[in-house]
Amino acid sequence: MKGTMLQSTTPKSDHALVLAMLCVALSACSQQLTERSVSKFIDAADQDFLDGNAAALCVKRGKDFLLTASNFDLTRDKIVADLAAAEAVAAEREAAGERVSAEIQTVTRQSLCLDSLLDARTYRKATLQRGKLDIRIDPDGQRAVVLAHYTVRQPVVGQRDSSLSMRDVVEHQIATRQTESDDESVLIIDGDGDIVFASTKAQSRSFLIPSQRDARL
Amino acid sequence: MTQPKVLTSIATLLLAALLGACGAEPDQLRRVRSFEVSSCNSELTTDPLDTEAAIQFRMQLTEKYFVRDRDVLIVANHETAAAASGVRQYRGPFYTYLHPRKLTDEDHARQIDWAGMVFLHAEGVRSRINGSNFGEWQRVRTRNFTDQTRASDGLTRWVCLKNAEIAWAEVTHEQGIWRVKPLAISVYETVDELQRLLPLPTPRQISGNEPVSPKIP
Repeated sequence: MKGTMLQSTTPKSDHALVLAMLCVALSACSQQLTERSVSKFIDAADQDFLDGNAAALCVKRGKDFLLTASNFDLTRDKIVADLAAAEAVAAEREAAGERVSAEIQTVTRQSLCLDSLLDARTYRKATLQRGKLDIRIDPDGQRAVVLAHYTVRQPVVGQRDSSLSMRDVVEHQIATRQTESDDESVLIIDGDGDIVFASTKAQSRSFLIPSQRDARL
Repeated sequence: MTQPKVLTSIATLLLAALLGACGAEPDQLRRVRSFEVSSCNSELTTDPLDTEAAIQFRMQLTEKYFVRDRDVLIVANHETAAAASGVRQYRGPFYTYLHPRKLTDEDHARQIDWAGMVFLHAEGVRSRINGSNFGEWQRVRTRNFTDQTRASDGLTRWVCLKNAEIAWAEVTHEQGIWRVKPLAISVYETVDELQRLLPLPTPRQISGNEPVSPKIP
């Protein structure tokens, strides 16, 4: 009976395999982006950042992904209460003849994957607030542009000597860096039928605020 | 003669098992021999000087800055603003780790017969700012690292010790007098900041029926 079963199931398995492959191929071709799938993808990507999940962050970027980020450090080392105070400091600096210019970075997928791996620990200490998602999907459903405003707060830490030994150090928080970022991301469906980021342009302003106590201390 | 002894041992084991099953894992006092990842070794200690060091740590630090309520330790966070002030709870098991240092000729000349660092470790932490509910329990994170041996994931060499530190102090026994110098407690890491733990939280503040007052520097 077992032999018979085996003999009869082998061709069935072949058929099933072919069907499954066909389904995958068809779904990859016919898959379309929807507001729901895009929103779910962005939620997951934000959570990957907070979890410091470097592998997941990397997988969500297409092979030709490019991040173009420009950041204005509004206050340098000065600690201020909020964004309004930070902008006032930046205005003072400009009035005094100083040019508050942006630091511009272009990051490929490979660099982003490496950075994620190295910085995963710092991501896990961050808090993130996201404004409303503005999702614009192309009529063919193969490409979407997502606009979002993010407020990210990350601890700025220093190191002190430890009384334990010369080799040991104690990490302590100096301040919290708040980054206000306007992101524009392009999402596509890659060859495997997965949603990925094709590119992100981020324009941000960052400044130091007083230390926000770490919830894990 | 052996039968009663065996019976006593069985009874003791049963009692220990029952107690273990009923309550949380008990607090422990351990002497750290090594906290290298490769050769980690901390052992339960009953050494009289070790025990006294731990008692002094408890009296001069734990009981001064924490309120114990059943299985949790509670601190007040008197921040600069009422909106940021509140209480923080720590969940056990609480391990007190003694890191005695090697005594020098100078120590012997000063009649120091015990010197080292004492760390109080806890498993979880959650906080509540005035007017809010408690956040989720989170694992306490370490702030003590070793420069050369920090792994890529940021783990410290003393990852082999149980949980992470919530308070630590330098402890010395000099000419029969115990000195405890707290270095960090809860989120506070400087001597000035330790004042933000006092006064201790009242039962009404712990239950959330009364706000914790801010402390303006």
